[in-house]
Amino acid sequence: MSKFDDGAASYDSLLRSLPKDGEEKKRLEKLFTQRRDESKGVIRNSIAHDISHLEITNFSVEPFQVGSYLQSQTGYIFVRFEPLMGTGIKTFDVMIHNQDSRCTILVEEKSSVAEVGREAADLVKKIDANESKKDELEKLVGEISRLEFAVCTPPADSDKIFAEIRSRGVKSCVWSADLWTRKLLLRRMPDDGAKEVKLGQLHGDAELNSLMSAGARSAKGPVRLAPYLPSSHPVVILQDVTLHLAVEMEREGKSDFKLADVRTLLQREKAMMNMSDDEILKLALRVLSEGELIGIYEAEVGESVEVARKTYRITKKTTLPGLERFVESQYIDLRAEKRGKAKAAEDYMRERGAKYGSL
Amino acid sequence: MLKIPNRDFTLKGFRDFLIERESHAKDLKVYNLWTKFDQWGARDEPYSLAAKFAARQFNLTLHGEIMEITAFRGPEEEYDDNPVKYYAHLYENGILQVYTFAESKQADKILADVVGESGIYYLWLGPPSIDKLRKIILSSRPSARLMIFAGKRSRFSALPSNIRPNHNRTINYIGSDADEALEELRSAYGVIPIALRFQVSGSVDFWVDSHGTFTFLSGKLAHLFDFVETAIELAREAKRAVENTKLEKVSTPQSQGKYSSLRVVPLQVNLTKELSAKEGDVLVEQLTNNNFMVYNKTVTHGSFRMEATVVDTKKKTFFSLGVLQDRIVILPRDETQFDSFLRLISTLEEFDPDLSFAPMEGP
Repeated sequence: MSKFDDGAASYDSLLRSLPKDGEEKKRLEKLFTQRRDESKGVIRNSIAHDISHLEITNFSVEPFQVGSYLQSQTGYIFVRFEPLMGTGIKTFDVMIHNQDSRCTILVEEKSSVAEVGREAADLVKKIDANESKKDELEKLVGEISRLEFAVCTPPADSDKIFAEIRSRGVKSCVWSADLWTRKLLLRRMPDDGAKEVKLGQLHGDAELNSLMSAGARSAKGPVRLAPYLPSSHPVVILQDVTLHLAVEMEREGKSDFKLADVRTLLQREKAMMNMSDDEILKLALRVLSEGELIGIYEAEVGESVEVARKTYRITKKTTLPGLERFVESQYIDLRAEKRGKAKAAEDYMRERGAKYGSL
Repeated sequence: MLKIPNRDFTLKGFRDFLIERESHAKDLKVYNLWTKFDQWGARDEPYSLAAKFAARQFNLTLHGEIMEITAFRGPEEEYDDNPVKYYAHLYENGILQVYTFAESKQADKILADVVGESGIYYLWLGPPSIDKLRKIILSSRPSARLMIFAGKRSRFSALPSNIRPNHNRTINYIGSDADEALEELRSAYGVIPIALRFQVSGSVDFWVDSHGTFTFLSGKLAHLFDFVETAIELAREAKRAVENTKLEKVSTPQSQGKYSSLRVVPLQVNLTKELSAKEGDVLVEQLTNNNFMVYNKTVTHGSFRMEATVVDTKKKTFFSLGVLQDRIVILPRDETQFDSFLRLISTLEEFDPDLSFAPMEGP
């Protein structure tokens, strides 16, 4: 179900109510075509935006993997993506932890910053919410003595957000991720010191501050460690999972799969590291229901059977490139159709209102 | 055709047997394959090397260190009356050396079908390796000559070509000046050698190709075996680079067993020049043409940068791919096999024949 279902239904009934071959009907249909095509563009943009978010996220965790320079010099290590997913609050993208000092850094990744004021306000809310769930974070790493926050953006955006954070007194550091020079940089003012550490605008770890404010250069360059995040765009997740399922089924000479196969696949994905079985299960269920909704998977048995026992098929037999396109087009076509109808109905009513409003 | 007796051989014994009868060994072919196996395993054992052949209903008979493989059918035709015979030795390091006297095209086709399996790939001699091999062979004796070569260019190649670079082409050159011609044609037409025919007077006449396959024509078979060893040594570089890559979950002492961490060692390939966005498109096209599908791609123009996920649609394995200016970074996904990796490298070498593998730089 999507939020556009009602709107799409009102479009359908509106269309039925209009005289056949009449100008009004043609007008409504034309509006639909336009809005649908616009929606396709919007969805494609949001997929592209999501992949850019993935890009900066992967970039900023790379220096905190075992054996990377920052990790070995400071002891800070990447723990997992989206540590508070499924807890009902908005989670940060990345969790980094130092077991010796018991300090945790939660990082918010932004591939671009549109309205800096709104972003800063959202960040404040998110920080508050996450601080209140410190006990949940402690379940992952043990006792946390200091919880820090950072927002990571491309260099151009980091100027804006840094100024905003400092002027509003937001409890967050600012990281600038230069994907071209491969440098991850901590933004700071020349006279920053103990006061900023206390405010949470500088890290508590002097070594980390010093190395990162000089710019930690990623040794590796572009490495897509995570092919998707749990909250990635459904198309990004479904494409990857569906292609893997197709390959696995072919390898095993099967033509169907179960919930357990999706779970195994997600569990095997290194980027899902340190997620609980329950989180993996929820993600697997989401994959299945979204896949069914857009018609790329179909369950073989009736709805009454519990989901773990259902067998699923991929609805189209095609090559791997064909499958990749199929997932994308099914999602975009279905969503754009609904959004297009809802928006067309809305616009049509507004036009009519303007036209006959004086009557 | 030389008849191999039905008895046990050591590898050395088998080679000695052939060497003693080298005057009858014309057209002996020696294929060299990288495999992930260190033993044959049983025919009915899933995922064993023996099972890969057994699945095609080939007969397998072990004669000591040599496996006799009899193929009654290839991927397209049946050869019931005239089965194709191979004799294979599996080294401990996973190299599968396959000998045959069978008709060349037929033998190639049947083996190519097996190489399509996961865990098996040709001993890939990329352009730098084949150049090194050529120099070693030509300097082995003053009389050594390159007599024939076949060179190939993909229109996607980044290798400079002075003449009409945007064409696919194959050049076959025959002449006692083939070595000089190879250099000239390389710069003029941007071709890379894919098959070479050498004549080393008083030593050996043979063919070698970029898949590491040797064909004996005449002379001393022992000398051919020496060159085979040299080729394997040269091909090891790509294999080693691949074997060093890692994406693994590890447990650090600090985590006290509470959480895992990741060790990430991708393969870094240095290109000979920085790519523009347009050349990046060409790279993607080159990958696509070689049955690598690129998806979830993000590209930044200006100073070119690309990230994508890649699936080898032949070998069915996945990679993460990053490109930044003049470097390509490849990270295996969970199930990525080295044979798929080598196939990817050979595709990249077609794109940039002079690429090099960089050890991961320090901080």
